[in-house]
Amino acid sequence: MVVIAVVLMALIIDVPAMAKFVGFKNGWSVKKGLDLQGGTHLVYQTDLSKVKPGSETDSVNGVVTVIRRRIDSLGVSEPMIQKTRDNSRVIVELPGINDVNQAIKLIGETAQLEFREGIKGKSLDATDGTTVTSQNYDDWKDLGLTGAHFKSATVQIDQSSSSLINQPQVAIEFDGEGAKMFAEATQNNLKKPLAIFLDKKLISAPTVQDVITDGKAVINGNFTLQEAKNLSIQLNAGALPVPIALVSQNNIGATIGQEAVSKSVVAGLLGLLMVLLFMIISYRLPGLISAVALVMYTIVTLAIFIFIPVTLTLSGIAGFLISIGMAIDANILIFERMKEEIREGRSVMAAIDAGFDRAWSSIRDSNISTLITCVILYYFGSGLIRGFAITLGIGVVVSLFSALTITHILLRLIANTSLANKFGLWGARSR
Amino acid sequence: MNILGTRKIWFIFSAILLMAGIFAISVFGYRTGIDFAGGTILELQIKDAKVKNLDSRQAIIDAYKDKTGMDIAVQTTEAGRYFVRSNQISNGQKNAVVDYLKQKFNQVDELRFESVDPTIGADVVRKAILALIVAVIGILLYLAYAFRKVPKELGSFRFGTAAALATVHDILILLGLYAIIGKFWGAEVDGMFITALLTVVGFSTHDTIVTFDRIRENLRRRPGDNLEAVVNDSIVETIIRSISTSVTLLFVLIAMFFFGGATLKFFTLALIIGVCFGVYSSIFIASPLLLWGIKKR
Repeated sequence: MVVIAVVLMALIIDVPAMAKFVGFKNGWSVKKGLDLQGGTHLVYQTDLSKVKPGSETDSVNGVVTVIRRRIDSLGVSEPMIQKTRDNSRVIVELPGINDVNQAIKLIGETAQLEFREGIKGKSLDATDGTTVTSQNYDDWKDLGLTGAHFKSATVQIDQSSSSLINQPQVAIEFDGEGAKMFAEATQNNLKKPLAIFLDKKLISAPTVQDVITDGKAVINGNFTLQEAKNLSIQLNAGALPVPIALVSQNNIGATIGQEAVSKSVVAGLLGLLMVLLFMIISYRLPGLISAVALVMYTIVTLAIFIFIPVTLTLSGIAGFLISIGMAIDANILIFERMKEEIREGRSVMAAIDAGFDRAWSSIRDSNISTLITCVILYYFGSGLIRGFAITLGIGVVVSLFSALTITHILLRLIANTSLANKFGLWGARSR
Repeated sequence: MNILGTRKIWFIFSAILLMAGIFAISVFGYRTGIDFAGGTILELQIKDAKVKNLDSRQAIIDAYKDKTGMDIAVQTTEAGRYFVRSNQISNGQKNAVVDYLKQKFNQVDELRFESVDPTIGADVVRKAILALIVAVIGILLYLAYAFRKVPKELGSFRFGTAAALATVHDILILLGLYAIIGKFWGAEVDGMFITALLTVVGFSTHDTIVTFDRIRENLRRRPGDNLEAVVNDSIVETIIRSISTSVTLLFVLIAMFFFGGATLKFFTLALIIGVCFGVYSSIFIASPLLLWGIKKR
């Protein structure tokens, strides 16, 4: 009864139509990995050379937070952003994203915006200091007026008469302290240029016309609309605490993933079918029972993947399919043992119990070796390998359970009927 | 059936295979996947009824030459699909290549772009080797533990060592054959191959344990009996289940190999080879090794 209940529950989880029938609105589905639904996997190397020793973790956590905020603006569902334990890398996964190039532009730039003051004779001409003579970052004086003091940034279209086309620009608003600093800076540099740098590159150096006290400024840098949007997203999300560089990238189109899924389903069903036939032909009645148990195993395992949830990748599917081939092995060990017991003159019922009892040590020992492998693969492996280790590992554990409970119960049920005396059905002819 | 009596044949057979494998490895070496060596894979689909396959291949070669300065080879995976593996190129360079092609053809789709920096590869290789070593040691320890209660003339360490040696034997044969497959069919050593190796470690031990478990049981049942006879009987008694458990696995693997798509083909092939030799070694190699150097009684 319990077994039937478990399998029924599993079916409800597996098949959306059944879930709806029972009354759940949407039903469940397997969480598909990047390689199956399409998307991009990006690995960034962090440059920690200028970070104070000891604060690496904080800095890289900051990077993760900033990237997350930037990505939120893209509307990607369930993005994954995490850093490696040694802080050397940040991994970003964006499932189902359309424009990978925009995402890469958005994520990778430090986006440190700075206002800097001119220095006479260095960045400005030596006589009255109103003409810009250097675009070099180091020739300008630090005012401490950076992205840390921004409250918000928005895209505007410049509609002033001076521009022929409607030029996109980014309007920023400083926070309280920033507004004070900005007012001071405009006061000190009245009628002189004030430089705006983005990642140490000069965007523009407008001449200050008035003292600005309301903390509002406009950056006009010949942006395209997309560039202006990106900059405003980046400014709102904050600058990256440390620079990062894209070292590895994996874009998968949605087509490839769908093909992989449908091919795997075909391969899986075919493999399952062959295993079922093999079992029925070689082991007769017990084989049929193990075939039923194997189908139940497949249903239950799939439900477990959905329930945990396990993100299914292509290698994960491989692990699951292989576990189908392995799941049956406990049954084979038990049935071979049963045949021996029947040959030695036991009744079918006694042979069933003895078969389970005596085969147990080899089943346990042999499956543990596979589990050890799975644990090691999981521990050392990257995403692809982990997917395989998880599904194979879960498969092995569930298969032990199904062999020891489902098959055992079903066999005992049938051994109580008159079928028990037809030895041919049990694969033991010599009697 | 006297399997132990024929062990010389199998030892020689294995020795030949192993030597051929070592020869293949040292002469052919391996191709490394981009996750190990770094590099770029770009898979494109060009749908343009008017364009011939040859023209689009040439266009891709030209695009790479023009935009990255690299000479590359194009593989055709399916009709209208092209696969290029090259040294690492940046996202920007890739976009330039795709744009170049888009100007020439109606519909150019970027199916897959994978780019890995060589520094990451070094890291992956280090971890993979570590994982292999840990797996073999872990299983050896586990075997010694699982077979701790065995009769004295065959200590538990002997069981562990014999099973581990049989497993190493399988791994070496797989490594050798894979070098040959790599040479002639282009299989690459990558993360998935290492996964296959480790999985074979698990499977091969799995098979050996079934036989060893029976030997352990029979030794207890028939104390004082001829050791060689006990071991041989145990092999014969378990040979069918050894083969059956692997056959079911092979069914699934073969289905995956033929119908499961290109990405995991070599992974599946490596597993098929590993499983086959796993059965072979558990029957013909592991048990004879168990008796190695023991006087007949």
